[in-house]
Amino acid sequence: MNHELLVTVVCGVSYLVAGFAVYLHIRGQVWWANPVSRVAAAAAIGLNLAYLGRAIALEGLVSTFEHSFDAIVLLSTLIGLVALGTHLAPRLRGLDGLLFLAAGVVAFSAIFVLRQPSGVMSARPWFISHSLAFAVSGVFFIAGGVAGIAYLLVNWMLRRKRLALVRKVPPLESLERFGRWMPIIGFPVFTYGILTGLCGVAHRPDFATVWYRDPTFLFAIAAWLIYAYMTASLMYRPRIRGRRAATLATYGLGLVIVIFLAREFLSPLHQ
Amino acid sequence: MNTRTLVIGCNHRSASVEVRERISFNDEVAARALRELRTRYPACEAVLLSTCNRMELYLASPPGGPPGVTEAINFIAEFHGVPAAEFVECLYHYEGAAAVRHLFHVVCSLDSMVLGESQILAQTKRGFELARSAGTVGGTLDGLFQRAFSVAKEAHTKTAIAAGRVSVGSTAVDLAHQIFSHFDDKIIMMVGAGKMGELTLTHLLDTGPKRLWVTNRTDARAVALAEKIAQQHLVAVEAVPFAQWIDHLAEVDIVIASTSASEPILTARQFAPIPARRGYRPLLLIDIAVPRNIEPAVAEADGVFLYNIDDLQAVVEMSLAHRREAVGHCHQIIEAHVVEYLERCSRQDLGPLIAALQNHFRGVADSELQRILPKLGDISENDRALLEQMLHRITQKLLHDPISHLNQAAANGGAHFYADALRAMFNLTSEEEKEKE
Repeated sequence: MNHELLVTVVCGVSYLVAGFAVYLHIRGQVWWANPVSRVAAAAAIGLNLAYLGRAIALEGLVSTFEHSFDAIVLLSTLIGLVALGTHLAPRLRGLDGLLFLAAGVVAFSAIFVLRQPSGVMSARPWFISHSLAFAVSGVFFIAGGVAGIAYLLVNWMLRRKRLALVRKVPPLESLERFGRWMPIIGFPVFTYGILTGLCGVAHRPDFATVWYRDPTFLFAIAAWLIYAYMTASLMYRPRIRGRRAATLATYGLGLVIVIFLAREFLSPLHQ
Repeated sequence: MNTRTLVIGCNHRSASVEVRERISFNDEVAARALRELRTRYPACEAVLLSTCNRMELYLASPPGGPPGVTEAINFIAEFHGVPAAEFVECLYHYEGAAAVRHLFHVVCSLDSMVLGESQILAQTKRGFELARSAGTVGGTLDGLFQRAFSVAKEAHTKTAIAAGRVSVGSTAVDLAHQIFSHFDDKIIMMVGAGKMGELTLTHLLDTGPKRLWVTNRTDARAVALAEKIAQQHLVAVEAVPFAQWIDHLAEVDIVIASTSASEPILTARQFAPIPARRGYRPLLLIDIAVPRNIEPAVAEADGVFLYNIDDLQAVVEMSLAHRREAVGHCHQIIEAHVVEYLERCSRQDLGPLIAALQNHFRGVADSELQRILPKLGDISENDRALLEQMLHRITQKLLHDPISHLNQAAANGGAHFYADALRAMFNLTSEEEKEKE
């Protein structure tokens, strides 16, 4: 087993254990659940950071993030950190479990790009901004989408009067505020990522004839339009709030996943 | 145990409120009673626990010494000026391990009227602190109560004994907390003057809302109610004319409806324009009136959460069921702590006996050394030290096995037989007394 696979499996399992422990903590009085979730999350984040630190030390910053694997490790680390942050915020307790699960899924998804050769974009200054901007905005959108899912679940629970988990999951108002700020912060970073990508490839002679054949680019533009609408609505339209805003954020999360899949599997041009 | 631990008292099951109120103690009276008890029985430790549901006197005194059960009953009777015959039938008393177990049950709230309520722990802590400041707590009761508090903590954290809410008012607060994260910008409106509504409002006021509005089908009554609530809870309350209360829903966040109207006072049709006017902010409607005040169809609007009395009652029942399920686990925790506490006490009790035994053996060795030294003539300091060391090591080795057995027996709860045998064989009683002196 090489060390990339080991990092993926250990981190993925640790995140899933952390998420499951949070679930146990919410469901019942399992006193050890909280310490277990913290230790598991800290282990996963620590291992991820150690791996990234080692990779950067050996290969340099740009070369490290040329690899899809390393970019995914960075993404799962950032989601794990956001999850740990929500775990430490009493009003968002419960959201951490979903975020840990998201981090676990992202960590495991690195298995699919484990053997992928590094790209040909090496050492271009714009590339590092482009890839980091997408990773960072991805974290915000995933966190916002997960908050949206959590909002819909809590809303369903309250409206259907399934009140067994009352006060064990975060209040709707907190989830809404968290879910509102995540895309608002993530959107400018995402825009920056698209712009750096455009600047990087616009000088290529074949750009005008190939851009519309790249699914990643098309889905990214679709996601940008949705997030632009969502950000504007969240800021200026009072009707888009609560369940509607949560639903939109969930769709946004779906698109982020589609972009990721398109980039990895359907987009030879982007690769 | 070297000290006798005794508890005598009554609770809501053993005594009616008429009896409990006659022998209860408030803080000031309790402090006086404890001091008086100490004056009467200087060797005794005491803690008084007096709440609306129980009165218990915890005592620790030397074995066989006063106060026993009779003395404690007489003391309570004399202190309150109530003939003992009027309450003695309602009293229970436990001694030794049973007393320890009872205290652990009390602090874990297994003996409370509402299973798992947390108030009893705070009340026990207050009673203990009061006794400490009155100077009636010594090593025995200090150890016992500290252990009791840690048992309660363990039971609360490791079991669901205190999980959930067990009153309609606190359940309403929980629902409010599930929807809103903060209350300093929230407005609460109470519609009607029902007793249950007022009780629920009292709980919700603890959240610290920004404003409180009251309305009633009779406007004058709404004004009177606003004044009453303002006086009782020291908050600013505004009376809203009943004709305008639906308009006010555009600003309100939580509504408690408890009028005795026979028809709904808020229909889906009346409510239809409200969500847009309130910017689709969430709205919590608590309808605890029977017949219901709010049409169920109102809850179909986005962001509206409507609960009636049955919904709240169902949550209460669910919490109580969870707590009942946790009782078995609590008993296990308590039993483990009772055994551990008693073992620890036994070991502590053996301390002076072991010291006496060691002193006795050392004394024999020393006297033998003093007897033999003149016969050895002029020996060096080094040789003398070697002799002393040898005697010391022989003594230690001879005593090692008996002391180990004694400690092991203490751990199994059967040290008394060995302790008595050692005392008799080596005449150690007088030595123990010397130790104490």
